[in-house]
Amino acid sequence: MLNFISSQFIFFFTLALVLFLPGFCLVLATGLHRHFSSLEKFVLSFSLSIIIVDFILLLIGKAGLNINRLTIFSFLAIFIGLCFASFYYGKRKAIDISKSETPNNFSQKSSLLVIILIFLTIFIKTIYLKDVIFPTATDMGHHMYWTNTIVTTGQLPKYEKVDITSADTISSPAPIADFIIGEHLIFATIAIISGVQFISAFPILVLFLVNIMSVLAIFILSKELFKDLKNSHLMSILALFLAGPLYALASPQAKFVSGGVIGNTIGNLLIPIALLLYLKAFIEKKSAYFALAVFISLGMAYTHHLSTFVFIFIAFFSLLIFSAFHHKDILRISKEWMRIILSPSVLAVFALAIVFIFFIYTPTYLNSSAIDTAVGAPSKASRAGLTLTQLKSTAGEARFALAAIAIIILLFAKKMNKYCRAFLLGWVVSLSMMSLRPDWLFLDIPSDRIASYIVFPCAIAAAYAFVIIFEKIKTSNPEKNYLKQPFILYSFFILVIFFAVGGFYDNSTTLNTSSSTKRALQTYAASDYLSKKITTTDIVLKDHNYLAGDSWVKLFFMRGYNFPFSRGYFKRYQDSTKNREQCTNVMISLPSSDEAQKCFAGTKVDFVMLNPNNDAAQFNRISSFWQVYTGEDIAIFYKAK
Amino acid sequence: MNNKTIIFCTIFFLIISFGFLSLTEKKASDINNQNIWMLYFDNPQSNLLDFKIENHSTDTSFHWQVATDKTITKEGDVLIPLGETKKIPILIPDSDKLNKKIIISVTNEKKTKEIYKNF
Repeated sequence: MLNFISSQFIFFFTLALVLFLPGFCLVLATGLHRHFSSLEKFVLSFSLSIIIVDFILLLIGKAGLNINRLTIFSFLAIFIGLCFASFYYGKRKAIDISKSETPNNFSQKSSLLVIILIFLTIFIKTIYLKDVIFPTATDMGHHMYWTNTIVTTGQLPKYEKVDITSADTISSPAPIADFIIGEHLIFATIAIISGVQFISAFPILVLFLVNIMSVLAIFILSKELFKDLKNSHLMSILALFLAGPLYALASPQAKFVSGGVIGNTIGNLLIPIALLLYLKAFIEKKSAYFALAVFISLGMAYTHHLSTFVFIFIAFFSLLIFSAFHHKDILRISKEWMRIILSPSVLAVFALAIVFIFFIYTPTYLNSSAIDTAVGAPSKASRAGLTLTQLKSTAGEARFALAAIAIIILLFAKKMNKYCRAFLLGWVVSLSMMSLRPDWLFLDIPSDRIASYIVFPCAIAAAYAFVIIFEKIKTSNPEKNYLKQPFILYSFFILVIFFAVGGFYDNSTTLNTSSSTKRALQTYAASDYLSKKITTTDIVLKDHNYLAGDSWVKLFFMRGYNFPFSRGYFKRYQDSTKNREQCTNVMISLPSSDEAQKCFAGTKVDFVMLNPNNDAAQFNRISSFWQVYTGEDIAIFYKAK
Repeated sequence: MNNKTIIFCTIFFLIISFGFLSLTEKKASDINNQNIWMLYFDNPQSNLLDFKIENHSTDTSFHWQVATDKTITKEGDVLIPLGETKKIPILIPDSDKLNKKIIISVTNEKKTKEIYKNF
């Protein structure tokens, strides 16, 4: 128990050191700490820390140094020292020292409500995660492999893999564009400093923390969006309710956390933070905000290509909508924007971006073939756009309905700040179009992945619409209404209950009834056994269809991303849009066939890991295979020479 | 002041949640809680037949048999406490293995598992 407590303490200390301190120091260094509320500083520090740590590790890697505790601590100390130096220099120069924490604090009752909502959010997600906390998720396994390469080699990873060719041999390593370095550096840093094991709760807990911060980011963003409106506090609290405890488990929330969808989860944090900073920059005309916003955008580009892509579309649509509403003043406003953008702090961040992209580390997806796969007419049905029903289901019925009403209200909302209106409309409209009609925008990306980004803007828009309608009902002249006011009010509250029930019901249907922990533990035990018994010339093939936690098997061998080779989902071998090798399929499904024999000879596969309840029979009939390991849900066969 | 209260409460809830989830994961990852056992060759690639029984179940008594082409040539009983692994050495001359299938079966109260090598 003492070991457990000390390991927890070290883990929390590491989280504070890596995920809060660097960002907080940067906020101090910019001098903007007086202009943010404590909550904004809290969320901003977290978001900035992720990016700062990423860039620090990229610098260490590029400098040819080993990425270990010493180098990480040293570079962090230098960074924090520079921030404090800048902070003290700024303090001595400062004229405007009278500005204290931004007003607009919540009342006691509102704060209590916020605390209750945060408690409910964390509680519901904890209940869900307790059944899936043991790591088995496929995506998480892939990501942790790359993270482990950083930890074990002390170098930045080379994203490449070998494959089986059409000639039934193993290819040379080829680059993979699917993984982006920012998804792995932060986990590597935490693992190196705390010494925590990968096959533990650690990856999910870190992602859980990111998810909670993204809910808080929605809360502080909605405070900023609605700050000029009456009942702005109610709107932001409602946004927290709609983004937090309601639909808390469906994608992209707790399900993405347990599934290890790292890039998307971090993207869902960075997008609202970037929007918050751009908003503040334009409204308050401060270039320091813009510089921070560009920094966050740069960090997003190093973390998740899809989130960056989505953000570009949000920015484009926001600009379009703003220009449409203010076409008469657009030239004058553009000059204001130029004054903000062409400032030393912003240009310094642009310079940093150029240096990093061209000289330090270029994100793997910035090559023409990766761009070609994302742009163009949709190539498959899954990329041709969702139906309205599917989008409604993704966003949550209640949120979707209210968000649709919000769009109409926003078109005529003259009291709202012009930038706030444009950003919110741009956010909702861009994601709706990308999800429903990707062909209009020449997008070739899985539509359900795009649609998952609509959840948060819908929550904010729905909160806005709800409060506006509620205000209207409360203040309307009873003599002009056909129905009595109490009746309208009670009907409205019944509607609220319907919305809340919808959200909580969605949570209940997402809760797991079964766990794959037992099967995954057997997979890991078998992997541990095999990793100690094979030599460098042995090649292993495993099954993905019937083994639990199989993507984590590669962490036991650390012999390449595609070691062991894997028989993937059966439908992939029948995909007419992609010409796939069939070896990994036939070597397990039909091991005695001529095709399989050619594959065994060409690939030199001599160990096969599979579930004996599904696949042992075909091997038992072949005399050249020995069954060398057996558990309840896993067996290993060896092809004797 | 209210913002700071929100922050402190959030941190408190997260610490409790993380502690609970870590403890849950620690329990779940203990293979001795899963009531399973495994059977494997000590050296899967060689001609040697020494095997191991790795016990993570509450049943501690195991009966093993070695069969050469379905004829039982050796058998025995072994007691393996929860969490332990026992190696059973099997010596069969190479001449007795030639062109034969050697099957090792192990049975506990509920299940039988087999591994084999074809010579």
